[in-house]
Amino acid sequence: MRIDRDTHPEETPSSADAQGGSCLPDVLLIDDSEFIHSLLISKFEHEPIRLHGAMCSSEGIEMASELMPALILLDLSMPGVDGFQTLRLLKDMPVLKDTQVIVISASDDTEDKVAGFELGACDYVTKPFNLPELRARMRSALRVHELLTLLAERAQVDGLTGIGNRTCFDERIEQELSHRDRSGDPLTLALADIDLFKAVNDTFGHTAGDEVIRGVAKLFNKHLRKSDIVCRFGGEEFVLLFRDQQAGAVIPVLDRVRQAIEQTRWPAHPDHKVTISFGVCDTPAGDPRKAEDWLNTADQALYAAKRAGRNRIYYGDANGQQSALRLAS
Amino acid sequence: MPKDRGDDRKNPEPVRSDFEGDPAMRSLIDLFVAQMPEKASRLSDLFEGGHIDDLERLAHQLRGAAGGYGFGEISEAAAGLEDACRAEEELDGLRSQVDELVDLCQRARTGTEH
Repeated sequence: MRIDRDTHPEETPSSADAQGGSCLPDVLLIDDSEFIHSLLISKFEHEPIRLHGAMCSSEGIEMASELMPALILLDLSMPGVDGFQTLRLLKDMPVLKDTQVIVISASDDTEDKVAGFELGACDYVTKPFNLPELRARMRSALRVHELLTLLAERAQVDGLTGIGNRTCFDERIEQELSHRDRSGDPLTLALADIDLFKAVNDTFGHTAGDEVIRGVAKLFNKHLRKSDIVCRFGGEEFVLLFRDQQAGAVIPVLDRVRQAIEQTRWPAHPDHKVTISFGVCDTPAGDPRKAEDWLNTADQALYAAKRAGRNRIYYGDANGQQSALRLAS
Repeated sequence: MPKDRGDDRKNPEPVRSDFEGDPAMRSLIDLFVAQMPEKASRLSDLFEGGHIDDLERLAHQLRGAAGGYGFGEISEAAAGLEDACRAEEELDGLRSQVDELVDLCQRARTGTEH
């Protein structure tokens, strides 16, 4: 039996909030005692959490992998697969690597405590509960999870521009390919490279170069939709993902950005213009080729754009043919 | 046969929750107390049937839950029974703990009951 109680029904939390905003943390209780579930549902009614419940190990593991909760409260002594074994299984799941686990047990046995910690639990609470204590430990565990989340996010952010970095992209492209297959709609990928960027750095200095990179990132953010992704791929290179779009629909957007960059007056070098080249490709739902292959295709198209004179958009198809993207007139 | 058991079993003193005065706990206490007769008879049945493992498990559950509902006495008695189940080899040696726990469960009352 699953027990899902939104302890803050007036909130509308989004568990898939990509911005990591104000959604409530999910807390999963895995315990075979209905008494414990009832007690916590009632006692945590006003806690800023979403409390979920599972009555046994297998149900708990299934729910954990769906919810990816911030915290799991895990009863050590359940019939069948016990808490220790469950903890082992949970800690083996990559999606739960940052999930905090508080083991709960009626036993005050030191050996149990040590075993729990060694298996990766962050805390140990005995039953019957002292509820203020449980609440305090729960809040502490949730704080740790919040910090881990911030750390992970920061590790995915490019320091100069504030947009996603390569690590972020590597994760996002897999998610976008899955979305593509689930939705049936294509995914478009674009690589963008600032033209002759080395010359900007060499002539006007690295600070000027940084300003150009920042400015370009800002322009991408300005022109892209919320669901589009832009990440800094390398020094002066950006990678973009457009879900549910074929390349043809993406051209106008890219061209607007291209023009905006071309027309920008850079404070450090007002008379020196900066341009950008694009290599674009798209991939239909169900296409088995890997992310790497699509990146290569876009890369070849980008290279073709550079060879053709830069400041333009080239399209690469699956057969390795490149062509200049026709602009909608 | 233990000497004092008979008197204790006839003790009509209700067992109440420490949180009886807390309005927020009312429905929880009602919920817990409502299940006590069933738990009490199950304890007896398991003991009479010689199912020590199941008896231990039920004692363990009560031990872990009762205190949270303010029935610390029941938690303690359940702990005693659970430990005795683990240590005891003969069924007869558990009788006093079973009786004590059953008695407490039967005497559990909500705030409005006497």
